[in-house]
Amino acid sequence: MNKTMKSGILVFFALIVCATTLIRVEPFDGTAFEHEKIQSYGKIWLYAEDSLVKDGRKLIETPYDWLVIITGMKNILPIIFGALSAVMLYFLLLKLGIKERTSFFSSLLMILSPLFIFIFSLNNYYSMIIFLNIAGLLCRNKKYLSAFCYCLLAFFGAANFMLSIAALLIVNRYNKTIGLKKIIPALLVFTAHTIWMYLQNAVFYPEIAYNEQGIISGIGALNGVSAFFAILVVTGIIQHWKENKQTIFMSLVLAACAVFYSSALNFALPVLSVLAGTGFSALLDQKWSAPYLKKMTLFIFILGILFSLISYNTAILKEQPTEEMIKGYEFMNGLPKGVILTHASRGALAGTLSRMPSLLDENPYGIKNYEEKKSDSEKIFHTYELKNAAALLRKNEVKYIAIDSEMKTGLVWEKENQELLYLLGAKEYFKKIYSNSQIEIWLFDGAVNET
Amino acid sequence: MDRRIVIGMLALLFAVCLSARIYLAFAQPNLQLQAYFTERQVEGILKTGLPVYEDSLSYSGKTQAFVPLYYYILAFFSLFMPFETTAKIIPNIFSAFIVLFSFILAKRVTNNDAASLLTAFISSFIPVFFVETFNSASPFSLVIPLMIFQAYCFMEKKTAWFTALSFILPLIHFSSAVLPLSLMTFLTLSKIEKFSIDKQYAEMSMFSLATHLWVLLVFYKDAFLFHGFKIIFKNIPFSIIGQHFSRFSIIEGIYLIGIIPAIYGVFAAYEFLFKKRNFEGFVLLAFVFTPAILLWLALIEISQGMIFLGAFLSVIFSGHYHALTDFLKKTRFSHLKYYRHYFIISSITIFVLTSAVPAVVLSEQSKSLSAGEFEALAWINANAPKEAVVLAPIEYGDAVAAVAKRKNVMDTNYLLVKNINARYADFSKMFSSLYKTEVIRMINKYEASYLFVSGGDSGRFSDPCFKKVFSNNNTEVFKAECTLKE
Repeated sequence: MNKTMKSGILVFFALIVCATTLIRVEPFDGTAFEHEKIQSYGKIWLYAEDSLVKDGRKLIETPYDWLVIITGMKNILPIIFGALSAVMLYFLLLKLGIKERTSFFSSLLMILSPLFIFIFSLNNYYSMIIFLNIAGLLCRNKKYLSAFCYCLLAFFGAANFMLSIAALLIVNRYNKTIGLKKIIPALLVFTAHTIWMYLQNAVFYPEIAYNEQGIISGIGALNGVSAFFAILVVTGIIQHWKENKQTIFMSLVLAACAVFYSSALNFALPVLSVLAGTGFSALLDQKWSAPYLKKMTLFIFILGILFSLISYNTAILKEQPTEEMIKGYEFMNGLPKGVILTHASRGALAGTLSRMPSLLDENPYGIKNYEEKKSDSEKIFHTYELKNAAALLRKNEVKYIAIDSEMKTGLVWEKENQELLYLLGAKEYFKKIYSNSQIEIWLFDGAVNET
Repeated sequence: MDRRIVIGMLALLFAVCLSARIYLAFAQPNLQLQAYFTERQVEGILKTGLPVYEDSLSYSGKTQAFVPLYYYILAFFSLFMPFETTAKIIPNIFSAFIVLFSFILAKRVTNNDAASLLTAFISSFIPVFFVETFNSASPFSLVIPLMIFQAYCFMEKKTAWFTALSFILPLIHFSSAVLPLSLMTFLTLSKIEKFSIDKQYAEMSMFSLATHLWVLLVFYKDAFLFHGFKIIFKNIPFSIIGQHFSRFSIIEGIYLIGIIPAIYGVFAAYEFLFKKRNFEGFVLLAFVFTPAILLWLALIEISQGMIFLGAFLSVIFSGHYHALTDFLKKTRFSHLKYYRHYFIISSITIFVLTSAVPAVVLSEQSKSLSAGEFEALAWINANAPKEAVVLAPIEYGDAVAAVAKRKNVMDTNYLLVKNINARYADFSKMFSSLYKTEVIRMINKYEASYLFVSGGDSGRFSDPCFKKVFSNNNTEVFKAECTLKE
């Protein structure tokens, strides 16, 4: 098999595994809606005005958002970046002197990792960040192009820029031909951008918040790698620890940063894929005392990796928002404008689909009086005092209350008629205007008994 | 020793162990409480061909997560005899195989018939293993003997058996994951101690790890996704974990494992680690260290950890046999005629007094469903509405589902239950709160309509809100008749 054919296989697999978005009506992670707020703003500038949260705020635009605004391909763009990243990683590894088979397996294992699906099938800027990182390294001989990639990375925020530099340092440690000079202009751009944003006062930087439960996708993490991938990484480490101690150690530190900052794992994915690819090649190459045991072990590894991929795809199909929830929020689009009260984790979704401001969303930055609003919303949810609830709803100009089934079964309440659910029975204040199996929309009449 | 004598002795040991187990099992009127979960799975298999994964009775309706092979095996035998008889005979036959497997493993380690026979004898009456398996239809009755056999296959490089068992064991009970973990500990221990081992052992360990991981990920997929990393605590309420570990003492641990295997096992472990440093010793050490570490980190239930420790400490004890006989040679006893025979007989006598007797005593004291309790649950089955929810102490939860065939509020299958700590706190309040309103509020919350109270603890329910509908010697059933309005 020649390199072109291998590249074709990688593109094919990347397109297949990322097709998840194509079979879903909406992206599977609610936080992607935050990006839609920016993209639907429609203007290419350094920040966008967010009018879909009460009292508004400013959200930073990234080069990824500019591309989506220009092309309008919010679902396709990440997949393209995914396919390109996989192929470019393959060629990068070849350039770094890694064996052809190991390079191919590394790229393939990266594609077959649940984290790859998460990054490259969701409307989020990490698809472009990873692409730019790999492109910046691949264009090491074209220094202007390489510097341009890192300059673009400077627009994605301090943490992502620093992690990109960390990834570059790791590769530099492995192969000294990857120079560090290219980041100098990027550092200047980063400084200027950061100062400008600071001067704009309290500029909110949108950050994807994941369903974080660890780094292994099989045990709940939405952005994780499979357990078998992790074992292959360990095998790869054992194989190459002696020759590449420092590089491996730095890679593990980068991956370990995911404990505190989950996005760090995105940057570590290509490096971990190389270790996993090395582990897999070692399993293939080594002579085993019992050859059938080797065949069965390899078979189990392949099955395990495929199984985690399939189970991940099944799991994300069950993720929020459900179609019924989307219908409920879309029903509100067109009703008289007013603030929506719902659980903060649904704030961005509610705002984007209904085109009305929500009281809160998951991201506290940039929201005026965030703590007070959060406290008010907690009090409203958990009171049996009708007058108090009504006063707080009026104070926050809430017109609609959106309650979904998950909120009723543990997220906010644990039983029927608990607290606010009980108060919703007061017909003079509350009127149910929409309901389906997943969501209820209530209209609050603030004018009643205001005295 | 003559081969025929060895075989005869082994057969005798097997027969003694099996008959003691079966005698004690049939001496109890019903099964131990944990057996009723098994009964429900076997019933499900016999009815539909599948275990009850979507359980409408446990926690008033939940999804169960477990591996099914053991229940299929018991279901097969239940085709030929009633489940209760199957549960009292088949698991005891499985358990009795510990005698044979301990013997061959000890023989592999010591190459001495007397030491191996002594080990087999010790293994047959490990108190904790005996009590937990003789009348409970527990998967451990099969897991432990097979794990010992697996360790033997590992040492002997019997790859065909090892491969087959690597698939079978994780399908019997998830706790067999202790095996690949132990093999990993062995590899680590060998690396640390710079002890070179054949490459094939690393390959077999890798294979075992891969199969266990794969099987567990397939069968516990939902539980892994639901609980994340916390699954290692099996969603057991914190207060229950706390109670178990705070009550547990080292003396109790030694008593449960057996005084001889516990003390001499530790001595043998020391010798293997610092003096003998041989391959067999390192493997056995790994099998002892791993459950010990898991117990220390509270990652395994005490009884389960003790079973693993007991089983492998008994085998490791065989390694100390030579040291004991050598020591004996240096004493004045060596001048006596037949001193070796005296030694073996006295060892057996001490063992009988410190392990076999406690095993039998603990078995007689162990908690099985009494005739009165069975009668009360049968009454609920005959008289309560089909949709009724029965509040019963947590350990009776499975019996409520299996015998009364009604929904329970809680049982000991904690996986895939949302907000388990809150639920357990509510559950405890129902039995312990000083305030009647609180008890009624909780009973209303979980829609319990019947209360099953055993052991004369019914005083708190002598109230007009609770109508006594059934009673016998030690068990009462109440009907909850009050509703608390907000």
